[in-house]
Amino acid sequence: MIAIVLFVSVLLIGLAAGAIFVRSLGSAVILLGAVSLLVALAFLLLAAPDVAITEAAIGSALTTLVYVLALRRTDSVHRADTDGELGMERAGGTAKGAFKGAPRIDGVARAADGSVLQSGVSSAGASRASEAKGDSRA
Amino acid sequence: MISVSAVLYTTSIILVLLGLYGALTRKNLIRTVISLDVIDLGVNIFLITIGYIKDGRAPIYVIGSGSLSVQAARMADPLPQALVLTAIVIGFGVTAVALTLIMRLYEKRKTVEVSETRGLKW
Amino acid sequence: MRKVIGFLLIASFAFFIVSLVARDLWIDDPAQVRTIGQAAIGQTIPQSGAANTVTAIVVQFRGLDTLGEVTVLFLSAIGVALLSGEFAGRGLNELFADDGGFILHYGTRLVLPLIALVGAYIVAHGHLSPGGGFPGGVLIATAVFAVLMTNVQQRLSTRLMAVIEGLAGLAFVGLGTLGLLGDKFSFLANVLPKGELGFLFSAGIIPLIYAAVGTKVAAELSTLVTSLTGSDKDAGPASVSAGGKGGAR
Repeated sequence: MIAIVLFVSVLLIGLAAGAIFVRSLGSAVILLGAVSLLVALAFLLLAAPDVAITEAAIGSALTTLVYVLALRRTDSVHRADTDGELGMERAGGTAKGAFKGAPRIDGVARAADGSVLQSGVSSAGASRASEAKGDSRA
Repeated sequence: MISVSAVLYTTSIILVLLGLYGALTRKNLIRTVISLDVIDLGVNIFLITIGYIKDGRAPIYVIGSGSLSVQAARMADPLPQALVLTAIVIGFGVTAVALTLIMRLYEKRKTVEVSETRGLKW
Repeated sequence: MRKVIGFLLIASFAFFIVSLVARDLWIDDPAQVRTIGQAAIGQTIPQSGAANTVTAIVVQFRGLDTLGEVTVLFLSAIGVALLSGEFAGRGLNELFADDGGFILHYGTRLVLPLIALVGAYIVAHGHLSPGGGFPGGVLIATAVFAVLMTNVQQRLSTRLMAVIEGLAGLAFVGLGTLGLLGDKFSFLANVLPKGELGFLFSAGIIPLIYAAVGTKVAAELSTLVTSLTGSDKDAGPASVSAGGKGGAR
């Protein structure tokens, strides 16, 4: 019992420090959801199932959803915090560079440097389509 | 051996201090709201740890398993749990209103960094 | 410089807290702080007939605090709806370029009644097993939130939510007023028959109050998430602000 409680406590402090100090805001919000779930587990270990159900429903479901909406509306999902210390260390302060190779999941086809090719096509299909367009032009 | 209460009291106090440090020194407003949330979680753990007894059971009577007075002797304290139930719901309300304020600030000033808005100097 | 001041403040605060708490840190069985809890555990079955002591405390022994909590949630839902007035009617189309696809679109609609059923179960059995009105209401609102986030064209009428919320609040206060008409003459007294321990229809007015609370919380949080995702069907003149500005110019 004491071993589980020690493990959960150490994980709790580590993830909460991560949520406050990590550079990317999206990661911080996900870490906060994980901390809420761990706190619900701690409530269960403390013989409080009522509170555990309430904390799991509110803290990890609703709060994370509202944070994600707030991040989306303030355009901060891929933005790097100027005074975060952990995580990605790109010069220039924006984390967009880290995702240069990965496709963005918003249904808009993008070339490798982020410029838009055509809408409604996935990026794997877009690269093939752009190659075909390049071939037909050449 | 170290008791469960000691570990959890220490953890909750460290969480409150971490959240307080984050709320004082972070420039990004969303990071400030995250720190306030961490303070909320620390305080809730602290409150429930007050009511914990060694090898306590949940404060719910179960019909089939033994006499009611035997069950009552090992129950954890239900009063802090009732208070924390309220506190969790109200903490969510505070977070939702704070984030809506930040969304409006972004629409007006196009920034969520405190150092770039004129009224808040920190 | 700011970080140094932050460190000093945190250190002094830590010293203050530890000096207050340190003498209790090693006790796992604090008999002297349990007096009210002990009384609550002892008086639950005689006075309320519920098997869940936390429910008995929240609804009966401290029922007025629950009324206050529901009011605070109501205020926060109003606050969010007021502050997000300009984008309460503009849908998610501008935020998410992708609608979510076929699976999310129909999957969330399929799962919504199941989640609502689990939420209603948790609300109805609040006096017998852990849960109650608050987590049940939150669960129903989460299901509504899931549908609203994946179907960007979906609109929810906040006027209907306001009517449901008002009726549920009226039910709460009405049940409390029943206590004034009984022989105990106190607001929120438990005047209905207590029944047998462990049955669904027992514990007087506690399941009824929790049903009212669950409905009110679900309606309030649905209003909150509707304003935030911009899926309000009854948004005021702000929803035509884009057209209005273009027309004025």
